[in-house]
Amino acid sequence: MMNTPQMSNDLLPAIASQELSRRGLLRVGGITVALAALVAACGDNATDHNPARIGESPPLPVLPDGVVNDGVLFRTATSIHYSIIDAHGIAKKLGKLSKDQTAIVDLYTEASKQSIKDLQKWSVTAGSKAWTCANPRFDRVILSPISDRITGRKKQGSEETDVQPSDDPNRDAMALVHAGESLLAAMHQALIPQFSLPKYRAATIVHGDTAARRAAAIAHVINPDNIVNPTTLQNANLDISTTTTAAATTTTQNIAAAGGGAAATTTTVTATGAIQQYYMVPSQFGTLSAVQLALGAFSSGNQFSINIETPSLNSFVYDYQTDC
Amino acid sequence: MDIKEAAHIDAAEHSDSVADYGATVRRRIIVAGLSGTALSLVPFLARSAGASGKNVAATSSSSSGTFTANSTDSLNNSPSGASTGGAGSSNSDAGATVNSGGGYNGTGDSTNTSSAVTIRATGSSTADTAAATTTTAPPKRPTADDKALLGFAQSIELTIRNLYDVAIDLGSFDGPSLNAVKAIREAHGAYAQSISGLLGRVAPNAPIVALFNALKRDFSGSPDEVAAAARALENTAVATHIDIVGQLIGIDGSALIGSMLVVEARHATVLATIGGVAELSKQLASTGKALSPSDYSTK
Repeated sequence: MMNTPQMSNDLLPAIASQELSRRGLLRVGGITVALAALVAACGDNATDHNPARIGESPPLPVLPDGVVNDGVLFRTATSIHYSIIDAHGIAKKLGKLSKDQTAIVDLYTEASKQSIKDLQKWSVTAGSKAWTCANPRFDRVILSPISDRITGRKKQGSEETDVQPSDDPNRDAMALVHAGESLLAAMHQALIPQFSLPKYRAATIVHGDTAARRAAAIAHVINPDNIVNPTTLQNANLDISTTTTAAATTTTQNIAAAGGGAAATTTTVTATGAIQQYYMVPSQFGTLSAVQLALGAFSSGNQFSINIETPSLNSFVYDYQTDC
Repeated sequence: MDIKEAAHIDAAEHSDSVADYGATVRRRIIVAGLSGTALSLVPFLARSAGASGKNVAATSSSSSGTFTANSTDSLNNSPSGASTGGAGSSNSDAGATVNSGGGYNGTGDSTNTSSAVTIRATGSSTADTAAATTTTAPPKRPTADDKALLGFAQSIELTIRNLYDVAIDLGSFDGPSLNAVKAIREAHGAYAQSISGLLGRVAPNAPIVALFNALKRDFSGSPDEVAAAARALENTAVATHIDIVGQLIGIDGSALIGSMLVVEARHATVLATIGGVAELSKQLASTGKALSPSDYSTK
């Protein structure tokens, strides 16, 4: 008669009493490895957003969705108008403007305020919240360095020399006003193909129209002789006489040359103090390229130059941005 | 058989039965483990089999108001992924349109390869109305209605160019003013050519004779009179082009007209200074009234 072990009391001791043979160990080990490989192969690593880690750690920060919609575009345009008002404020504060120049800047500031009111209405119409302050990125990246070039400052970080104050703050201030209005015109033009509806495109280019007029007028104030860009005139196949100024040359001794510097070399020296020119009509078509602004003290014949781009993905005022 | 031998045999039999039972238990444990492992794999296999269906569902979920072209929903996850305008390429079907908010109606333009990858279009005109959603990006190429509008714009540009020719031929200007007027004249010719390039064979390539005849006299007077007439005409062109931008569906046409009108606005300011307008507010004035294709024939 066979003794059948009871399930609860006798099974485990019975199993435990069995000696594992070498073959048995290999078999169990092989099955374990095969199962582990099977499970690992069937795992979906692509959907595993929680990589293994040790200890407690806060969840990784996640950027909010940056959806570009019509409201965001209107909010961004609003913010740039605010920033240009800030730029005009810098020009008034640092530029030692005359009474007439101050009146012009005030007129332009008021025009941007009117544009802001309209753009804020359109922002709401397009389903977003109206933006009520300047573009934070624009102020940080563009306006701050511009102010430094007019006032000058001590060297910072890896800079080798101090930033010298401008030799002509009034010139730089007027150039800043021109650059600001030119940027507004370019921005509204650039927004046209980004809007989804024709009525929004018309709403934005209305302000591009007025900004372009202001840019032309301030260019005329800066230099009444600069009406049409000479390049545009040449492209128009007009018989325009041009004046070419030969670069000054100096003869210097080259002590590093063979023969103890007996030979002489000719070095071309660039003109010092050539300031940037602004035209009422800078091009035949409205351009979307960066607005170039040169200002500040001359160093080796050149001024500090900054390219001011029309707003794009990194400077849009998205709907999730709520704090001014 | 003595009692020891019998006990030994009995012990051996008992040991064999225990060994058989233990092997059976081990086999059953292994089978149960394998069965459990197989069952645990069922969800993975089901997920793999249903992957494409899930993506389709994600693509069609446009009720949130966000248009996502070709299941590129991951583009919405970061600002850098959201692109607009001409950047990026979208294979969206411009013919499939859900337009409930008075916006444009895609007309099946098969060449619509750019524009917004992610656009939330709103078609409501009041703030308290929920934003309507379109599921197609605006087409690049002009629609049939666009072509009529662009043809009208081209005819205006050719008319303006011909009017400047009148003033130049009569010697109304000289010096820098003449160069400026010539450059402005050339610009209007360039605008007409650009529109012609966009429209192709359907471009009218003809001025509006009635408009030319109506304004020809104004371009034959003194420099100040011609400058004033030209300035008024530039303002009219700007107003007309803004009106056209507000009607054009295709992006290419809108962008072209936009690039023209911002410079025509500058032309108006230039002509104000040439005409002796000293007051800044008057130099900046934009008093033009838009012309309508219904007022003039483009052929």
